[in-house]
Amino acid sequence: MLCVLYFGCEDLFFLSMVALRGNSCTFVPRCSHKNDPGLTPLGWLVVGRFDMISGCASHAGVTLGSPRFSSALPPFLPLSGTPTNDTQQPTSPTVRAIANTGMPQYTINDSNNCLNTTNSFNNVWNNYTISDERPQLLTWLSPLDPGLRHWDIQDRRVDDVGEWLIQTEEYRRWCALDWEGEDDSAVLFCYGDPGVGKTFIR
Amino acid sequence: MIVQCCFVTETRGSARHLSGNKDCSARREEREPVLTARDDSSLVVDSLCDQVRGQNIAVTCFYCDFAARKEQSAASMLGSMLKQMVNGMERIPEGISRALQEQKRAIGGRKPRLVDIVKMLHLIASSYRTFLCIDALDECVGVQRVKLLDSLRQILEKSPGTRVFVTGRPHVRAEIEKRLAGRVISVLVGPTKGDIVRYLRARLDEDETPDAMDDILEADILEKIPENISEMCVRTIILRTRLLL
Repeated sequence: MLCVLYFGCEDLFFLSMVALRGNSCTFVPRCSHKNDPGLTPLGWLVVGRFDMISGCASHAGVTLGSPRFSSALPPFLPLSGTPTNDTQQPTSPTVRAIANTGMPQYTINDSNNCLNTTNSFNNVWNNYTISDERPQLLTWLSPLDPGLRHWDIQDRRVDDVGEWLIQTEEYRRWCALDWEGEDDSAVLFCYGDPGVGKTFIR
Repeated sequence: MIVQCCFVTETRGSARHLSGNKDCSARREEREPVLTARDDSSLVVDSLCDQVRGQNIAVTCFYCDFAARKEQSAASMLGSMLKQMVNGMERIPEGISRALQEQKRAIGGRKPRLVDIVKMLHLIASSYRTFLCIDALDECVGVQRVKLLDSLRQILEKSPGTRVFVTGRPHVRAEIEKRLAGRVISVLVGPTKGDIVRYLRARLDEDETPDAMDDILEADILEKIPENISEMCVRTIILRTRLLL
């Protein structure tokens, strides 16, 4: 599973990928100014749902440029502590991972789980972990993510087409039954030939 | 029809109750947190979201895809919908969290079996009224479709508040009505003339070569095509018309 990082250095910010392994998240912020030891990271953000971003990762070149992510970018959160040399850890390196609109928030916290400080770049510390079993659990439940497919269809859909469906008596019966009532219409099956708009109905 | 559903937790507002059943409504009021589905503009999901906002209701969707049929087992499909539900919850239900911990004890870990997924879906469906929406069931491998339908039947038996929305081609109708006997309403779907006109107008508005279109041709398209054509063919006809000009 991957998530995306926006990494800030002065007025620059960079993008990196992180790999989630087990119940931890390890990432290496990559700064193109690695030869400039004076460059100090301002902070970073993880943007988007972990499970959705994982599905996007293989298409990162396309997806990361989409408005769904870029328009939702909140301001950088400053770190409460910054490293002063290659090996020193930030004093309080807790960074909030900001989820996209409406998504749950995750917190990156290295206080207990930071693995090491071997640093191939001069101005950043290396490894952080996410102490949250949620990403691991989501991956375990299913590797499938219908998000990309949905976006594709969402883009091609036409407003107001298929509105008749929710006006039908069948639809109203289906969604308006009692919470625990007898359900002879708990399943609504819409069938039709290829191309009639089953997938796009709206 | 619908694809994917994102969840957010919302503060409980003044809930509109679909059932009108006061006892049930009162029971729902006691539960935390409130889940509603958002972020989808497809017709059914949007409609459901409008109706369920502020209630303990989860709406989740999945696309079957012929090209991905090898990966789309019954367990992974239902697991994907379960994943959407869990992702929208502030707190992961203990039973689900425990299942993850237990699988770690197996050598090398173990992916959830279908029976595990169904149990976990039961767990959520007993607390939340759950809408499961599955698109293009006919594109699912036959043996997995059987397993999926049987699992849905089990869920419906134990959790009567669950609602299932399915789309598919006509040839799977008999199978669905057999596997989910006594619970299915079948509706024949087809574009209305109004649908096709709206679709045509939208596509004509997006025409990248407007010089190739004049008022007479546009009027001709809007008049003749809707009479007897399906959406899939509309694209083809517009393309061909353009190529002929």
